[in-house]
Amino acid sequence: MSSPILDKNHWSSRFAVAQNRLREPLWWFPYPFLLTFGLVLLLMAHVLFTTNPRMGNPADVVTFPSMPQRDSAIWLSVTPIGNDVVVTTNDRKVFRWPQKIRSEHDIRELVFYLRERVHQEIQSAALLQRIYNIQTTAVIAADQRLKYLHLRPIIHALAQAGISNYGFETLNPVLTNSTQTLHRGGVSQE
Amino acid sequence: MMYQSKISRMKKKSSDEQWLFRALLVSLFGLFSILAFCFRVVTLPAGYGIVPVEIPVLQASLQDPGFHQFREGATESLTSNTPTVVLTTDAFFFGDLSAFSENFSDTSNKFIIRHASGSPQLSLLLQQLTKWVTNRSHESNIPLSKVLVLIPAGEIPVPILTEVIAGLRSSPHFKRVVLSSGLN
Repeated sequence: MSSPILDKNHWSSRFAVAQNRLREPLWWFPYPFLLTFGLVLLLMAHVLFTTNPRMGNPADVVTFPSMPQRDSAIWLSVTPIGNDVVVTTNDRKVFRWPQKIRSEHDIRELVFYLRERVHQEIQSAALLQRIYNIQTTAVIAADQRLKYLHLRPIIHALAQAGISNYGFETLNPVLTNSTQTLHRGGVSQE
Repeated sequence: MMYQSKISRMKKKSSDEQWLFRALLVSLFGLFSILAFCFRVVTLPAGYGIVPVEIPVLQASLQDPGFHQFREGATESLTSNTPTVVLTTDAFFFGDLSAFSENFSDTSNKFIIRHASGSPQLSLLLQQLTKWVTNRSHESNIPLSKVLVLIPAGEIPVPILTEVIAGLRSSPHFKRVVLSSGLN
């Protein structure tokens, strides 16, 4: 039980301490605030805006002007590492199989993952009450070193997961006025 | 006298502790700004786009006994007359879908456009393909289809494949490209 007199004494003593403290400027005072502000600034740069899903995925896609993708998509980065084809998804799942794939068993995990992602996309679309213009689209960011035979298992996996729309990702070049015409024909083959 | 007073003022200013705090304050703020900029530059993705391709699906008519009686029909269908392009490391071949399936051994129903020193002649292919599709439509009364089947060989590099698909889709005659499983 605290009496009102004790309370009053307590507050007057606290006030006296504060008064004494504020007689001289306190140079440490802004630092906690600035540190917090700085950390928030750094976190906002990562969290508030989307983190680049391409970080950590070494797929070097072809530079070519193409249509930007705005709808929901399952993003797959495909890279050759050693004798394997490595598929990294935008939620950091990694699938790997040999370049000379022999059976469907090797892509079973990818098929299972894609089916789950399709269900998630459908559920989120239903909850949002929003239908995407293009049905569940898978975007394949294929490394330039790959050949078509390395992508065939992925296309089979997409078909098995019930995805009928997919696309190959390209890096849109920064166009100047003189180079805005779409390059057609004369594709060089190395 | 004037110089002495200036020197003493400078000494006082230099020894004043508040300059250290201000410098620390500004440097910390600057450091955070630079770090934020650097992290944002690293995390900011460049401008990307996609070259769309399709996998054909079988039409299945589902019963909808509800109020709307919704029924989804096929917008386009693959037939034996669907234009087909085969891309190998040596040349483009084009013709009907049947020319590469039922009548594969027949050489009179296919057209060939060879690569010029390893470089696929995409503009020539588009020109010839458009001419063939238009003539066929007038002469044989085969309806123009917006779908094209592309059969690439397994050895085709992905950048070439992507650019060929984009080139085919840029034609007003072909808006949808179906990528087949390919040649071995």
